[in-house]
Amino acid sequence: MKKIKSLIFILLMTLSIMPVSSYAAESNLIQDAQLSLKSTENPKRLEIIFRLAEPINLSKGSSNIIYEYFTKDSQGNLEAVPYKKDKSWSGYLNSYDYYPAGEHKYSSGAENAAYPDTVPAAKIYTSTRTSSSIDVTSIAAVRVTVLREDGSGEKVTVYSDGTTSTIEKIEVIIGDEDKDTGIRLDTTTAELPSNTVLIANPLTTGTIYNIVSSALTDVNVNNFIAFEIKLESNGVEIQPNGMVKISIPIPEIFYDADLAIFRIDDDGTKTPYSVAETAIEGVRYITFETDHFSTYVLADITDTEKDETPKTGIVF
Amino acid sequence: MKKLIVIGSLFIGFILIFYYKKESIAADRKSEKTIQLEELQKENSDIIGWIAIPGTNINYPVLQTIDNSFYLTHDFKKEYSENGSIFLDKDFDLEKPSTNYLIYGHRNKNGQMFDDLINYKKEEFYRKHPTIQFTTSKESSEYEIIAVFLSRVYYKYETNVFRYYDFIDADTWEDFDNYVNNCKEAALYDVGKTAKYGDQLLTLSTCEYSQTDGRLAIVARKSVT
Repeated sequence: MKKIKSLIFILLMTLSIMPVSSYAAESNLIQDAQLSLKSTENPKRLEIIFRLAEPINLSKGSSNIIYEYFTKDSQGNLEAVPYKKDKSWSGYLNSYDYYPAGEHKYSSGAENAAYPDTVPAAKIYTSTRTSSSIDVTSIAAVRVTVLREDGSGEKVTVYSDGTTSTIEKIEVIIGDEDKDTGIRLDTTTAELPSNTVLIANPLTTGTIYNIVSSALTDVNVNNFIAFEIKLESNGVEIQPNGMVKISIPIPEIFYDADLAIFRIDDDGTKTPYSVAETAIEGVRYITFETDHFSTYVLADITDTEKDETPKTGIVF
Repeated sequence: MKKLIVIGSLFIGFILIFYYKKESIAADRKSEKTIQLEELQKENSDIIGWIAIPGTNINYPVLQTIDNSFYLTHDFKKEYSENGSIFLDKDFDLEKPSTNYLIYGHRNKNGQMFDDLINYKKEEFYRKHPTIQFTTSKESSEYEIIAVFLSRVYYKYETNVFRYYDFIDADTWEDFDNYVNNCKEAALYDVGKTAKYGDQLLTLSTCEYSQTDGRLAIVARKSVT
């Protein structure tokens, strides 16, 4: 029996030191974008060359890679080619291995049919565009927008002179709620992948509960609730790439209390967080922002001591 | 040659008379305020100074006693008063003097006590009232405001927060610079002035209600004339 216990202990220890991956949203989705004009050949065509850092789903009917075309006016400003004329555009997407041993041509022909279901990552793509109504030699720039299934993505403008604009990120708001505790996560795809799941477990006994309990002794709280809060994406624990908003529903016993949120690390270090109170559909929440997930405590600090400084106030 | 000596000594004499007159005028002015203060001190020896901000209602005696809560509810005659008095922190050592005159006051809705300080949230008000006059038995000085900011009373457990109300004596220039830098960082607007180690500071503190136990603080440095 003892052996099993120690085995479980070792297993738990191993699990707890396993690395937790961080969401690397800073990596570019679009890489090496470039525009070249193949005007000498017939039919005249544009080539937009780019590389993607992750696969993009191009299931039929979706438009996860979007092109916009621009000419230059007499002042040299970019002018969008109207959509009506855009209808006359067609093209196909070619893919090459990153080290181009061989060319992998997906298909060619009409736009929608030309695209594969999924564009794999880390390949060079050549999107060849032709137009029946526009002289492609007049095209000064093409803006390429690549979107993931969740709507997040990147936008870049490539110019015929070889330059490229700064990549503009497109982020969408995402959120999740833990069903048992009602704890909410609100953020954008800049900080977390869209399939992030928030998992919260209330702690009432055990080693961590004891650490929390003793860490709070000098704060002199009236009452507290501890949660182990973590984030998972595809079943893997992750930490956000920036500050995300967490909202904890306020239990009735705390309705009239001054409340605080603390993060308690495994070594007993406690970090207080700035909090705000909000109500969503009649439910009162205490909210705070964090970029690190571990054990959090909602504490009643109504009777916790403040600094001694004269209580100046308003006299009526 | 004799003529030259006569003219020279007359010239020096005039300069001396001129300086003497200027000095005595300054001394008179100083003593006028100090005399008033001494008169008041006869009534209550807790009166340590006088504070005024020209163009505002702030024109009050400043008191100090060993209990920081006493003058929250007593006037300068030690009689019970909801308005209390304007008072200097108990830990400020007038003999030294300490680095930072930390002065508190209530805000009375009728505009009395430190109520006018709340107007300093707006830069425009500061521009019109950039100096504080402060007189003690030792000095009669002007203080130039270097920062106006909002803060609050912190819980004892809170770390890495700026407790402006904990600064009275600077032991090192680092202490001093830390305080000034924290004030500047928290400032609602930039007044283009700062203070350096060695400057005498004055901080006015009152309540402010944009947050629980909120405070408004105004930090000024003695102007060097």
